[in-house]
Amino acid sequence: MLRGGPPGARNAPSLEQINAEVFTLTYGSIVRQLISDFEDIEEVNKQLEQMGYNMGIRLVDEFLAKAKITRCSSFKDTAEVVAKQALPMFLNVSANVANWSPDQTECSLILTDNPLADFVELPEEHRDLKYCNVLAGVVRGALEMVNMEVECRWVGDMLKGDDCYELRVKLKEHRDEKFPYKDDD
Amino acid sequence: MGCFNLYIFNRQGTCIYYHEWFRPKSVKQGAGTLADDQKQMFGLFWTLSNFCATLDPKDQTKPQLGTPRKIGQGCKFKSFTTSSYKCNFLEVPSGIKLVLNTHREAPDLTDVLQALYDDIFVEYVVKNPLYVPGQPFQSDQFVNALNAFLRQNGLLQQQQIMAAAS
Repeated sequence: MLRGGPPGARNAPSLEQINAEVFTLTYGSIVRQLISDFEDIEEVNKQLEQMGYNMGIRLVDEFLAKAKITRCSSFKDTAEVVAKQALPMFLNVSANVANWSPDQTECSLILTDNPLADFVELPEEHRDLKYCNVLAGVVRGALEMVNMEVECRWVGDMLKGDDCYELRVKLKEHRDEKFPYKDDD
Repeated sequence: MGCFNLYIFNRQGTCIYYHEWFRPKSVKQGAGTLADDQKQMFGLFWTLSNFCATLDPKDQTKPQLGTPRKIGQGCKFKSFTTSSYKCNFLEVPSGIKLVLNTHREAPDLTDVLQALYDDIFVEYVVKNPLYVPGQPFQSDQFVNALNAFLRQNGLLQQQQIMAAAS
């Protein structure tokens, strides 16, 4: 969506870029419209997540085509790729992967800069709004397409006074490739 | 060199796209219906890649034949050649599988298939708002881009296709 790919990506054709402010303002008006359409903040969070999911299941192909990455052998690698390659490619910011759970199935993506939320102030009556929930959906959708079922939730949000944006990503299942047909059909 | 036909499958085994340039032996003489033909091709791909991964001497884990695998686990199956045609495969981590049947003299087409996915499939199909992920699609723009791409790579020359078939 924004700017070009990360430096050093092999033969990556430059991605189309759009002005960051146009992007931020467009996203803002989408959220605003959802709030007036649904009125219920929980429902808005859900809609944003769903929109992100629909983006994610397509975005993953774009990422695979442009990033020329080799395969990720573990969830840990995958998290690094999301933080260091995918986010810079589409949002022009990179994240840090931290706070691993002891069994390596849960981690946090930490963003200190988030172009989605530039110029945003959350009014008091919308304290429950997860403004950047679209990102949670994108990550879930994209990883689902590579057979990783994850759950994403925001645990830190600078709009609510935290130090950084923290997206908690939990690996629920790393599925095997299955033969889609039954033996007898 | 020439291409005979192209299949694009998704992870669910649905053939989301099929294109035929030259197929002297009709589907009716083979599998019967196009749907069965596509399913058999998917099965062939699946079995061959699974079998090849099982045979891999470099793999320390020695999986049993038919063991479920994660994406990209084990070695990759790329193509096979018969006395009359060559069958080229590509699988990407998002579950999309490309199968391209070509003239048997065709060189290694790994990069060509990868470029077909990167520059044609993603650009003209995934980014097309009318494409519903997981559903078969029809797109004139895609067909034109596909033909232009294959021609550019010297894979679509009618006379050679005919010569290869005779």
